[in-house]
Amino acid sequence: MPLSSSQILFFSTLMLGTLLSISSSSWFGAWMGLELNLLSFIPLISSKNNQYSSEAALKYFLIQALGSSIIIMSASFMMSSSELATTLFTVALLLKAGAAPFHFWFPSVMEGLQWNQVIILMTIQKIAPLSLLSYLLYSNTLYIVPAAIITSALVGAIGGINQTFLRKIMAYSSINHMAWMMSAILISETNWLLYFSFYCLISSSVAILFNYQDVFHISHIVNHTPHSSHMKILTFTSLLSLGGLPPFTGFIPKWIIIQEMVSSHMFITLAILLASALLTLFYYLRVAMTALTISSPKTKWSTKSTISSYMTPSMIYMNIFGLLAPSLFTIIL
Amino acid sequence: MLPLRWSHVPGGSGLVRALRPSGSVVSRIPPHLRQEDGNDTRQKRFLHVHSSRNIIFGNTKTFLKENLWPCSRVNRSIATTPVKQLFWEKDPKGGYSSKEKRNRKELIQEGLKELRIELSKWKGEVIEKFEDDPIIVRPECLIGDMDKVWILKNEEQLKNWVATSDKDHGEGYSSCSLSLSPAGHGLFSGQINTQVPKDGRVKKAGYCNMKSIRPRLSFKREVYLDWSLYNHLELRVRGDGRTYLLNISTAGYFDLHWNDMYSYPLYTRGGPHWQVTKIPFSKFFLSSKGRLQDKQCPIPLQRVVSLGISAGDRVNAPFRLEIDYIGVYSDPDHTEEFAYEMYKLPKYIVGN
Repeated sequence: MPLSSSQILFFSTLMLGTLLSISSSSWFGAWMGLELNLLSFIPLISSKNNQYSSEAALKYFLIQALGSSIIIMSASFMMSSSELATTLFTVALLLKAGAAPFHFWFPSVMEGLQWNQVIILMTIQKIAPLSLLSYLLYSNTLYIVPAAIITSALVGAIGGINQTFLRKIMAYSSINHMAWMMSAILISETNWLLYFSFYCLISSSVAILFNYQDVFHISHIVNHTPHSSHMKILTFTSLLSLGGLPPFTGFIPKWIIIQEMVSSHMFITLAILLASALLTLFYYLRVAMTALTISSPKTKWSTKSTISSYMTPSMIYMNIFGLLAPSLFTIIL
Repeated sequence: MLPLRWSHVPGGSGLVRALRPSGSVVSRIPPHLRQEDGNDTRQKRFLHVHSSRNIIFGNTKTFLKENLWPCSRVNRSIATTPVKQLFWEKDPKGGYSSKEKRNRKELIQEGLKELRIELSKWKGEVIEKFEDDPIIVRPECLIGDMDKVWILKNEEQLKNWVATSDKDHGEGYSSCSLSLSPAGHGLFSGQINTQVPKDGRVKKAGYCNMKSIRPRLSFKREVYLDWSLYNHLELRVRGDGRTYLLNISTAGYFDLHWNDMYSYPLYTRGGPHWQVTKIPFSKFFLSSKGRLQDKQCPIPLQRVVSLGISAGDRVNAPFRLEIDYIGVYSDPDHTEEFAYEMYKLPKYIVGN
């Protein structure tokens, strides 16, 4: 996809900010990386001339700036009163990541972005806050993170139930997956990185598919182009993979987390996470069944005559490689 | 990045224009304002009456500072109200809210009475969220068909609309009303009076407006009308041949967007026959507080707040517009995204 030079610049500083944040030896360095991340993401999302996209960019900036200010405040008195500092730091990181109960900005901001920016917001923008959260947890004796896990799971599940706009559905699914990621953080760092990498691949595959079809609503997915049978199968499998159904790739990280949580005796959290996963699967299934079964030749959205991108099918077929799950375990673990 | 909204001080006086500090204009400052005489009550009163925001200015310096910095050296002769070059809006209603102050105790008592209604509404919404399914795909026979958003057939439906005119805030003498016509449809009628009231701050007069009330959820939460699945606005009207202006307000979250209005004229035929007018949303152009914006963009259809119909075509005569329904229509073959070309190259193209 053709990137302009400014987009390449901001993309590289985005990655630089993230790496700086997770590899710094002090909380100030972490804050610096987060700020660099924020400041390079803003030009990436404010390029459209639409009223609503500029509103989304402004909302994003204000929320993240609030989070950054709380982070630097708590970084400043981490030495003196470390309990309060870690509590505030955790709260600010949850705000930055978009976890419940600080998630209210997330669907609204996602609604105003294009699919490319949605992918960045769902994947790369989560790396730094969640990594810093994993560094914090050794000293956190409070119940903020388990409470955030439970509320994120429930909010992500219940919030997405009657939505028809695909970006809002992806927003609530991201909130739900963050609950799984945070519970993976509580277990071990390897688990979290595993879950996160799988989640990035799967959700970006879903978003790339929607971007290719140029759809923003469930009713836009119906199509009758020559590629449509490919697209239907791919949309169906990618969405079910996102929901964590067994033959697909999305099941693998969930399986690992479930196993680890059972051996760590976190049963109540696990029960709530599983129930919420079922609810999220309900609304993915609604989208997936619509995509697979309904075909209508009369909607305007069906006349996309673009050349199929070389990356699209390759990125998406990896949703199927979950069938190779046993070999994965021998490699990774 | 953000589109700018040039606004004007509502009801600003011609006096402010004369106070712009360009060389030829300084001499036009009235002599009693050039000297600041604290004892001169007439001077103070003069400044106070002409400030539309009821801010008491002690002296000329504050008045200049409030209204002119950063100051413009261009004296625009087309616009008749002064340009205020700040984005910040103090009031979502722009100074036109009702001035009555209610007793706090009365307000609390009224609110408690409404609590039961709001709770039942909220219960309905929760049930709708969990039990009802959204309409995903319209059945094939209905594709290309229309959804009627407002049907004006009885008094209850007319309560969703508010009719205002320039007489309400003392800026003119037009009158209008929204009632039921003898045929049983909504009738927006009145008299446009282009006589300008003689209070020095109004330059042009003569408009009447009917606007739909913003949709609200339980507990008076403001929500938007979502028309993103449609691409035309359809009205069945019977007019009197005059031109009306359709205004779709998409007031946003921030004050920059509070006054965003997308407009397009509605040309009526007059005569005894009804007309069905379908206007694509791509034809609506952006304006803010009456000023057409330089940076145009297509209307954000998922953030529609209200629709308004204005009568104000500078003809001093009665008007009559009968409306059957107003709906939204989805035309699958309409591929135009925006009708107005911006002639702007993307930022990274060198040499533009």
